[in-house]
Amino acid sequence: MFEQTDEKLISKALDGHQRAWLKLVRRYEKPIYNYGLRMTGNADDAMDLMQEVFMSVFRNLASYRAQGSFKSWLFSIAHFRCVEFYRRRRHYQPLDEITEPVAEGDCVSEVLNANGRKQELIGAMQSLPLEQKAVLELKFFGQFTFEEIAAQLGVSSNTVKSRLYAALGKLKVQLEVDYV
Amino acid sequence: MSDKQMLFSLYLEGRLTSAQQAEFDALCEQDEALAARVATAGWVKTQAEQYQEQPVPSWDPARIMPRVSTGQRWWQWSGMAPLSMAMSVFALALILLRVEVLWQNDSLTISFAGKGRQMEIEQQVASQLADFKTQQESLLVQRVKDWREEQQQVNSQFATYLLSASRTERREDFAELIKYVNEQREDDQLFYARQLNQLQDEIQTSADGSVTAPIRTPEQKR
Repeated sequence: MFEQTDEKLISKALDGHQRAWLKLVRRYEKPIYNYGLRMTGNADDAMDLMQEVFMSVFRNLASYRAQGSFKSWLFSIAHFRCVEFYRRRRHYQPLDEITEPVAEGDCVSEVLNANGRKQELIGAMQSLPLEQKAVLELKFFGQFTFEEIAAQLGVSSNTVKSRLYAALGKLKVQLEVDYV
Repeated sequence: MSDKQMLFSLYLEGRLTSAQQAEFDALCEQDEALAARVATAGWVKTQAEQYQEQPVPSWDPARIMPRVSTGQRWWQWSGMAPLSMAMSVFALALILLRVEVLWQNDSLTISFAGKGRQMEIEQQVASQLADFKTQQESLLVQRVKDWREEQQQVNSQFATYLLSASRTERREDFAELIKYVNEQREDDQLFYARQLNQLQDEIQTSADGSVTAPIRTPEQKR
C-alpha cells in the first residue's frame, strides 16, 4: 500500500539516495538473477550477469525516460548484457547459431536439482539459440506481450512471433512432449 | 508470417475470437507440427507458472555503485548540460534582442531593442530640462528684482537731478533777474546822474540866463 513506485525510487537514487537504489535493486534482483539462470544455465554466470545488468542500469539510470515500465526497460538491458555475455564466449559465431553454453561448475541442473523435473524446461532451453531462448524466456517467464518483447529486443513483433514459433518447435524435439 | 503463426500468437495471448478459435482448433487437428507446438507451449506455460525462483546469493549491491554511496556532486547533475545549453541560448537571445534591465526609482524595468536606453535618455533630458526651467525661472525673478531696484535707483537719481537742476535754474534765473534789476538800477542811477548833471547844468545855465529844459523820467526817455 505504501510501497514506493519505481519512478520515485529512481528519482531518489539519482539524487544520491543509496537506500532508494538498494531498494530498487532488491525489488528486481531475484527476477534478474533467475533470468540469468535460465539464460545462461549457470549460477555463477547468472550472478555475474545480474551484477553487470545492475551496473549498466545504474550507469544509464539518468537516461531512463519512464516511457515504458521500468521492468521492461530493465529486461531490455538484461537482454543486451546477455548478448554481450554470449559474444564474449563466442566471438565469431553468429548469435542465431549459438546454442547452449557448456555448463561448468554449478550448472543449472545441479542448482535446480531440488525441483526435479519441474526444472527440466530450464535445461532444455539451453539447447536453443540465444535469440529464441530470449523470446521464450520473456514470453513465458517474463509475461511480456509480443509488442513489449519486440521493443526490448529491438526487432519487429512478427520476428518475435516467428522466433517463438521456431523455439517451441525445437523445444518439442528436445522435450519430446506429446500432444494431449 | 503465416496465418498459422498469427493464430498461434493470438492463442498464446488469449486473444482469439470464437471464429478464430474454431479455425485454430481445426488447424491443430490437421497440422501435427502446430499441435505439437501448442502442446509444448502449454507445457512450458505450466512449467513457468510452477517455476520456483531461486534465491539470490548474498551480494552487496552498494559495491557496484561507489558513486551512489558518496553522493552526486552538484556539477555532476545530469541536467547540467541541458541547463548550460539553455542558459547559452538565453544569453544569446538577450544579446540579439538587446534586452536591458534597468533599476530606476525603485522599479525594475526590462526593455527590448534599446527602448530602455532611449527611455532613460528621455528621462534624463526631461530632468535636465526641468532643472534648466527652474534655473531660468529663478534667474528671471532675480533679473526682474535687479531691474526694479535699478529702475528705482535711476528714478531716484533722475528726481534728484531734476530737483537739483530746477534749483540751479531757479538760482540762475534769480541771479539773472537780480543782475537785470541791478543793471536796470545802474542804468537808472546813470540816467538820474545824467539828469542830475543836466539839471545841474541847466540850473547853472539858468543861473547864467539860459533857457531851462524840462526834466524827464527814465520811462519817458525810453
